Amino acid sequence: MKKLVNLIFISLLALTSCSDDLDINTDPNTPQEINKGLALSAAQGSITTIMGGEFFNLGGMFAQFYTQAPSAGQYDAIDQYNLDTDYANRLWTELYAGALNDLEFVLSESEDQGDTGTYLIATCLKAYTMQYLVDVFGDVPYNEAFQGSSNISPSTDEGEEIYLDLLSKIDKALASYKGNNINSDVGQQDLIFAADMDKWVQFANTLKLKLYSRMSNTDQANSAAVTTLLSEGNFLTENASFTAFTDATSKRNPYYEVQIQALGDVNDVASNSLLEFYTRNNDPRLERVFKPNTEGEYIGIEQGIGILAEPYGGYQAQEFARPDIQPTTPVYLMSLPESSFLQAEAYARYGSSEQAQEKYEEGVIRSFELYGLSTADAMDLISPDGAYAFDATADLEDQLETIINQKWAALANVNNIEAWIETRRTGYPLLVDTQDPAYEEGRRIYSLASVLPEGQIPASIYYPDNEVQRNSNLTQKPNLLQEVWWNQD
Amino acid sequence: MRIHYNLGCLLLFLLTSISTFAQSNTITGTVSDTDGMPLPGVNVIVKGTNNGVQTDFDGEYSIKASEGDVLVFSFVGMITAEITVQQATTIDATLEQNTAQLDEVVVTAVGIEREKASLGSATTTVNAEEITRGAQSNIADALKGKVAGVNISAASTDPGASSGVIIRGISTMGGSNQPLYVVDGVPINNGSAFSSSLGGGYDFGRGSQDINPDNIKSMTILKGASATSLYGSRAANGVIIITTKSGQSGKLSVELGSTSFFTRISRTPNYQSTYGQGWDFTHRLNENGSWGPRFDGTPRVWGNVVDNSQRLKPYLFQEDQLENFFDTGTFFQNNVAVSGGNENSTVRLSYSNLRQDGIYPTDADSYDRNTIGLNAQSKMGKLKISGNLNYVNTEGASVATGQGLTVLNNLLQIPNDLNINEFKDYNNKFNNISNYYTPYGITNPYFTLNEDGSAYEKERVYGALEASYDLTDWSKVTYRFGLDQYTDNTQFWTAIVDPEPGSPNAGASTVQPGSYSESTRMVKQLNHDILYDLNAEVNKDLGIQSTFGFNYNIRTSRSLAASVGSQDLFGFYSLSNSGENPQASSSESERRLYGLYNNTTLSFKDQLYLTGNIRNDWYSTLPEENRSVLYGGVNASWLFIKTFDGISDVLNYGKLRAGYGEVGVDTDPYQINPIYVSGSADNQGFGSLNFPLGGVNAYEVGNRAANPNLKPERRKEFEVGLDLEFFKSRITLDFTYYNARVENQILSLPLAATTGYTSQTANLGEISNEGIEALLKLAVFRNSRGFNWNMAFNFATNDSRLEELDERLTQVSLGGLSTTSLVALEGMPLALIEGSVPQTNDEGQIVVDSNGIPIAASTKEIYGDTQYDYTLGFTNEFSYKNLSLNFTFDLREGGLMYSRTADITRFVGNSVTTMYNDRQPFIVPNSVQQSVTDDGSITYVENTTAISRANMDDYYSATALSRNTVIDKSFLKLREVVLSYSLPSKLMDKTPLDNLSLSIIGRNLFLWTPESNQFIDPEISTFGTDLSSQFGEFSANPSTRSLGFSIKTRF
Repeated sequence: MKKLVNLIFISLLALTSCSDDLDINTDPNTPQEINKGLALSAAQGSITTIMGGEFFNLGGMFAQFYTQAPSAGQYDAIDQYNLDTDYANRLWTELYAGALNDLEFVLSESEDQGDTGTYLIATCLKAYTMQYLVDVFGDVPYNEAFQGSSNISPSTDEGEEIYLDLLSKIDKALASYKGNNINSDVGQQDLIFAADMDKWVQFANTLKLKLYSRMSNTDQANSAAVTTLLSEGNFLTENASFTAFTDATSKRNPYYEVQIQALGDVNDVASNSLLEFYTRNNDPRLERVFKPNTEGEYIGIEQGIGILAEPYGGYQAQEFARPDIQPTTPVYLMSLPESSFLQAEAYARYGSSEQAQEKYEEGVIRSFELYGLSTADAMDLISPDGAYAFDATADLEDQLETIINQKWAALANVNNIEAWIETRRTGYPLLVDTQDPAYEEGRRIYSLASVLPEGQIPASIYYPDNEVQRNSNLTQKPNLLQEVWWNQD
Repeated sequence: MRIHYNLGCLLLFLLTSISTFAQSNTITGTVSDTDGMPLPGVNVIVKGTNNGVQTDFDGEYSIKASEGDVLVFSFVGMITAEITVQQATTIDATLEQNTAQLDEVVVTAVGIEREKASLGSATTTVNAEEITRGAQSNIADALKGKVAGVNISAASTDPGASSGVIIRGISTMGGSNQPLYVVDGVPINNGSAFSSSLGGGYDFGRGSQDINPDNIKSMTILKGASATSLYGSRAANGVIIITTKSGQSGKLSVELGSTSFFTRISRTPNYQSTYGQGWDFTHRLNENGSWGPRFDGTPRVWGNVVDNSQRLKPYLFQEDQLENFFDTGTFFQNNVAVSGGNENSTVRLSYSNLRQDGIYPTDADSYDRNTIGLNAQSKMGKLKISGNLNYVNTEGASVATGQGLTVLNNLLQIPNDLNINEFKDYNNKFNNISNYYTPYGITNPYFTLNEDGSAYEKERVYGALEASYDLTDWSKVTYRFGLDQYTDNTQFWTAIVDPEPGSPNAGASTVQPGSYSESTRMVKQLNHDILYDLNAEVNKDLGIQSTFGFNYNIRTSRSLAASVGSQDLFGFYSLSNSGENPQASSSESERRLYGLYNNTTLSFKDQLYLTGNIRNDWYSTLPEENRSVLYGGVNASWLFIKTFDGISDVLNYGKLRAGYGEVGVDTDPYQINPIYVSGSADNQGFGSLNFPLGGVNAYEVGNRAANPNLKPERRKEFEVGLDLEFFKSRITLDFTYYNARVENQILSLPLAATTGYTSQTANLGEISNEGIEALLKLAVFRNSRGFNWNMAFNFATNDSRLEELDERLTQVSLGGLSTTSLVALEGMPLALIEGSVPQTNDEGQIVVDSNGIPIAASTKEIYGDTQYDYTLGFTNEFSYKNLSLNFTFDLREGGLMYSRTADITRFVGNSVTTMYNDRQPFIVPNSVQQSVTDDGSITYVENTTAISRANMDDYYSATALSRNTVIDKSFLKLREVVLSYSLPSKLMDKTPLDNLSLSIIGRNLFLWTPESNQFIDPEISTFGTDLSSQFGEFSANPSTRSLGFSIKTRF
């Protein structure tokens, strides 16, 4: 028995001497600490992937730039206005748990370090991302979000309140940057503007203008704030774009990587809604936005018709024009033409028609520039007898239609989701029934594959299943017809 | 046993032939059993002398003895009888069956040997003969149907694919449900090398299949927590204890065995034979489906026009289209073992070689295994040293499963009128990737089979070293060291698919830039045990056996992987054959465990036994406060047959047992602390955007939230059982009821992304498993010289349920697809299949779209659970003298599974299930269409739109009707048939061989499935062999049946 006791004693000794031996549960495969620059790059990568990937494809179809090709069916549900409740799982996760959570880290680090520059960058990107979440989904979690396991069911906030808070956060960040002018030290880790703070101030102003323009038909319309912004006139002077792509696996333009490389370019073909808008107006942007079919022709189909058995059963995607996106095509967060059209609309609403016209024409020209086209063609089109002439004498609504139609045509392959959101906000280009005598080619139509009742199109998309299942404070919407706050009567 | 007996006979025979004493009388007589059947080979000895004989075939003997001598009649399995010689010269003896099991010794936890009678928990021991009878190369498969309550599922019949073992149901949703394998007292790694990737899955097997079944002396399966708790957390799913063969003292003996199998495809989906190539009811020559017009037998062109020519064939159904693609697989296994030694030291050396080529043409699916094992032991006074060392080398290649350009996915979409063999020459101008008949996401399967591929190689060394020293005659101390280490390497490549510009397939979705990837892992386990055993009799009635132990276990792994997403040169596969930079990653992992334990058995009058286990573990994987976990178990057995002598006429063995045990279970390393991960974004589910980009690297806040409060899982199990043998063991019943609960399930708690995270490793619920296991054996005929018929029924039910789930969760996602998935819900059986259902209005009518096709409801519904209601193994064994026939049926009833084979063959219109209403237009019964009134509300009107022939394909692929891709997985299989013949010993005496046996073996010869399964062998899975495999298959390779023969000899 004594030996036994000894054995146990020895074993216990061995154990106590080895208790440090068990402190090996720190993952050696990941860093224990990171810095704000690394997280900022990651956040920009996440935003870019959604803007240039999932939102690009969804927006491209909902804005009627592209439509589902016959003989394939990956995006039938989009053209059928029949999105599943699990459609948005990935993009929602990438934005909330990816981009925004990283931006929270950047905000907290830069605040601790008194780095007002990086704080402004992160504030802009957070506001930009939240704005799209509101515009696409409606009311979403905001104030209670990003609290980890201490609040696993964040309640939603009204879109209106989120918008107002975003504006005030941008103003606060701008003020603290202006008050204590620290230039961000993230340098090249800022993959949008390489930490050029002047550019980020311009981004902040343009983003504010965009938020105000969304609010223009609501009780929150703020002409004073817009007028101040316009009078400062300090908007984007360079496209806010992500360009760090190379032609290699997982490093390409997100739309190209998946739609063209992985899925084989068989789903999205040119929708006649956009294609015929360009052809009707002899607009050379046709040949930049789309690539021709195998015969070298630019042929599109009506929105949604590819899903039907007739008349294109058996036709393949290559027989039609398709989106011309290259492996290294930049992803634009906000572009110069968008900025111009925002200003044009603001002037039309709150300033003079002449100022609106000036910005409108600048928008068309900048659009041609962005697509790498000669501005002479643009000048022809916007000349008084050109197809895109601006009528400064027309009433506001007609001016808005001219501006937004051009904005729509300028956002194709640039910011597709923005184009869809703007069609919802403004109703332009007009949505007509193909049977309507007023129908002319190049308008938006009700998708011919729609499963929604006649005369209806989606006004937002379902909250993702994952969120609904995990967040007890979020209730799924009954259908896709729920309008977001700035679109409600 | 038989060997031993034969040697004894021989010895006695020799003895009797030399010692002939002059005796007064010759006594003769017959020896029989209690049924009056004569017993041949009974030893008859005059007590106290060397004078002895054996009974002949008729049970008769003749021996010289004097009056007053005592004759001793002994026979294996019978109670020895003694009869004093009287005046009579005829003495008949009747021998009674010995309840030999009473003294059977079983190796239990940590190498402790205990009498079987003392075990208070269900324990099954399978001996070498049973293990090797079916000539399985994989020990898990060798156990199939032989142990009640153990569910063994082979992921597939592909060469080298893994088999999983789940004992008494699913006990954890987060971790592994596989048992712990212990070889000669040392735990070994049973990790798997598989991928359930939907676009190219593979399975290169599990660690347990590196063990050569021919080296196994016995396998003991410990099921309940009261028995397994001694092994600690890793034994929570049960333990399979393997004792390997050691050398036999005496003359050098050589064992040889050779097995060959020939394998054919056994189950292919049933195809419709009425409609041929096309889509939308139109005969289109580039369609990958059979939605065309009705067959008419007229000659029609098919395929693309190439160089102004096109091929012609009659428009007719192709019989056995898939069967014609596959060929005969082969399996050759050869074993040799040499053993010898003296009374103090023995040694055994074995070698085996296995070469297997599957049913795919070419050797794209193959598996080779070489094992070398050395086992030696030596006794030097009080010191005993033993050790074994095993080297295993395996090489495999597999044909990828899943969607995309996998061979099977290409095959299943070929219209049912095209002859697959026509595509064999894949460089032919009509068949090459440029001109292959379809551009729709698939290409020539022969191209993929020959050009894409994979290779797997593993080098493994495992073994144990043990030294024990007898301190006294009732106690000893033992140190045991175990090592298990392997390195494996996996390579995958896909060919460039680049049709010529201008060809029909240029720009199609099949265009691929090629790829290459390679990964290497090094996995190591070190295990130390120090044991102190004591075995003492306190007094005549009370005995004590006790083992104290200390265990230290370290497991480490390291891996390095690289891949490149394009290839430049065709036909050469390498990381450097690309304009892209390869993506590389590495990872390492380490976990440690200390355990201190005691196992004590008290016995009273050799009929009441009480065993207690207690163990404390310290885990590196848990937070410091929760690191130390104490648990244990107690079980009791009562050998009541010894208490009530009177019942022994009917009952010759009776034992009642009961046990309760708890086991603590830790989790994987690195689950507690927050992490930062390399910058990467999910791109539409088909790709990702990965940093570095533009020379800039990124790290992001990981999506898993920290959990400093994580506790171990705790399994609590109660069991009660009865072992009965009636009528001299003619009827044997082994029955167990168990009820287990596993609390504090460690699971990934999915967090809403709005929290900033997507998951947290947390304690989230409780699972219960309740079931019965019953093994009934009947000796229908028993005649040691003639005809024998034994039957065995092996019945089990198990109900796994998610009893409680953290209120933060409505369900647990266990895998599957985004459309149809595997989930667990509180209070429901584990696990459930959930999927889309048609949208209905308030009256329950089905809402259809403008084409008359049902629209999917916005919420999914549960289709049902994936568990078998019960399983029944039914074995018959007939033997006549040296010939025996053995066959086993396996019946599994109930449960659902997803089948992608069903999904795809329905989508392309090949499946016979797409023939509803002979494809004539029909209106979905009780359906409505929705319309909108002026005030915007939705109303429903009766649907009058019949689904047109052109839209028929959309009906069969409608999301709303996904239920049709989920099938009943019940089946009845003729699992194994073995016909064996051992050459009679008379014949063998004239040869240098000690024995020679020949067997013909059939496997999976027949399969019956219910009506809803027109597609596959429901045992296959592409989701591994653990919980997630319950979901089903995603274009798994077809299963096989095989026929083989085996020859074994020893000299």
